[in-house]
Amino acid sequence: MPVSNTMGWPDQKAAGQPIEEESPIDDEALVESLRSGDPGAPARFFDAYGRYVERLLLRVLGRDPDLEDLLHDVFAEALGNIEQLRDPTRLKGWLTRMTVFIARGMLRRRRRHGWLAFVPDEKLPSMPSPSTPPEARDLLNRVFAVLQRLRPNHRIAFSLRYIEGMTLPEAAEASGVSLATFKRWLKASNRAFMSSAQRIDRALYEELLNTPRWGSLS
Amino acid sequence: MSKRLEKLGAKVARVQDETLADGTRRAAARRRLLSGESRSAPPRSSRWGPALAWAGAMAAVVLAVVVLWPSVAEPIAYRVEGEAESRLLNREIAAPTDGARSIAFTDGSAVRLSPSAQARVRQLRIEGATLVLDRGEATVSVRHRDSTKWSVEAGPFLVRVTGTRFRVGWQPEAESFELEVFEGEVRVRGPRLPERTVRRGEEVRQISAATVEPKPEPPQVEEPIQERTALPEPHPRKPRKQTGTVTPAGAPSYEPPAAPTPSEAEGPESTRPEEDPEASAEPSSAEPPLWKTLLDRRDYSALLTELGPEQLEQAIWQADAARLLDLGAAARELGDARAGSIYRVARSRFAGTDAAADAAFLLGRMQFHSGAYRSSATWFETYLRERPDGRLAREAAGRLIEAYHHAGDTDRAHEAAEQYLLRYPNGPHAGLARSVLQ
Repeated sequence: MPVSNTMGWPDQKAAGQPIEEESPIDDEALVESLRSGDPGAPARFFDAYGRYVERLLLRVLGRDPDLEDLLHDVFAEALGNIEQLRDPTRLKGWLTRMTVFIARGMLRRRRRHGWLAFVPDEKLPSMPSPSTPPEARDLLNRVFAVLQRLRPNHRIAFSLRYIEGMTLPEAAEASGVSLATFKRWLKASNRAFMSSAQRIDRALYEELLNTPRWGSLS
Repeated sequence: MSKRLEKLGAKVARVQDETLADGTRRAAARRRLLSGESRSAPPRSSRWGPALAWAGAMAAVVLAVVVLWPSVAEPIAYRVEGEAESRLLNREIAAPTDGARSIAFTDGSAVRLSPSAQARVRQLRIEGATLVLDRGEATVSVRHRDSTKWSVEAGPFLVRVTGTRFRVGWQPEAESFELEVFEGEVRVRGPRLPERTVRRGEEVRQISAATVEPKPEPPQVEEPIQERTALPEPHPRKPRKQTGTVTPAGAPSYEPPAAPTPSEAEGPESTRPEEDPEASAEPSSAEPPLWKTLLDRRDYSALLTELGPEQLEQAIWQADAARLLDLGAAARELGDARAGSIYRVARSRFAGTDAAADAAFLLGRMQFHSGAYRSSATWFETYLRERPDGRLAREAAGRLIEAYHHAGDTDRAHEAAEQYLLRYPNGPHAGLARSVLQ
């Protein structure tokens, strides 16, 4: 008897199907087909980089109700400006900068207008799978609660370097700034993160200093 | 500090990566992009309503702080995972049916509610708390301090704690109480159970209903001592009978002990008549559930194909580490897509153990065979991070090269190959590593 999905598990029938992931792409050919108006090219473009862009947005913004809109915006922006891409082999880097630029815009708008832009939990995108350890889910919420207090550039620096795991030059390029500027942002983000954690999440702060206060079963 | 932030970021990334498996958001954005739809901003009212409510709540909190300030030394607070710090009493805290739920306390103590369990915080003091377990199982870790006063109420049973780690279960329908102490000791009392100390490695199982007739105890023989292997579990559970109220837990063992035979009984030190004359064998007349029978028989195929979801879930959440991994392997062999989820549960339940690391390796192998090379590489890296010298480390390091190589990530394949040759110049993947470097 097939066992159903009360645990939010995949259907048994899904067995053997490849798991979605980014596949190797010929960027030059893709850009060429986008520029030539190939009707299937936008779909191929999205399929090639949709997951990557979503991941970057997730790194910078966390669990955000506007993520789907922003994902759409990045690709709409990219498709509208594809002619401006000088080196087609650098499509991914170009798209990365565009993603970070759009995420930064959102963070700035929020900071200017919206400290009260409270979004109820049920309207937020789904949490990780049920098999994710509760501590891990909790940690995710706590880290982004602290990051929310950082300036957009500092938050971006933190997310790209520490969460996405980019190297300093990669993160600087993605942020569209010089390496020196990025290093300055990162240093400031370290200080701001610790300072915010100390204020709003003492447990996280102490965990980072290796002096736990909150209980943990791990 | 940046190293610690890197570690923190890596943890966050791992959790986030699980959300990416759900392609709903991408599918919606793709559909809109290709159909030429523009973005649809949500109506403002839906945002400002809750925002204003939140502002009102904040104002109330500020007012309360002003009125109550300054206060004397405060009782401890708690935080249910994903929620803010709270001191609300008697609020029902329920774990979902498909996952555990954690409660952390500011005194360093923590409670993890097993799936479907329900509990309430009944009392908060400066030196501890009283937790009421309404149903289900909870694993409790109480930080010991000189003045710690912690207790757990489970139906008519009371467990008093000064600093320890234990699991407690209460099923109100069956009036069944269970207690297993992993560290330290606790005092427990209940109907027909005079207050007694339960120490590390001991268990108490009791049916509180007075109508249960105790059966004669089985003859007591020495139980063979399980040799501890190199891969211990944090919360070992040996297969046990439904009978008996106090049993010593077997030596932690990653390789599960053999299923109990009818001749097996608890060791002589398992009962303490001088300490608890009433705590003699009090067997349950109920048949063991089917999932338990199948699990004890290691009939994984039947577990996966014959059980309903709730029963399978029970098995997954109760199985020891070795059986859980075996169940995952059986699922793979059957082509059952739940294999991945079973391994993830293993990682969650046995976090930090060799079994969790092995599950990461198995997930990597599974992803590799399904063609998800990047994801596969992530799992192999997870294994290597968790067990750099583990028994599967060489294999994981080799497969990492393969995964990056297949994913077309030349840089990382190169890096993995260099690392491999440094550590295992004559290993089975050395040839591949050299060819990647060329």
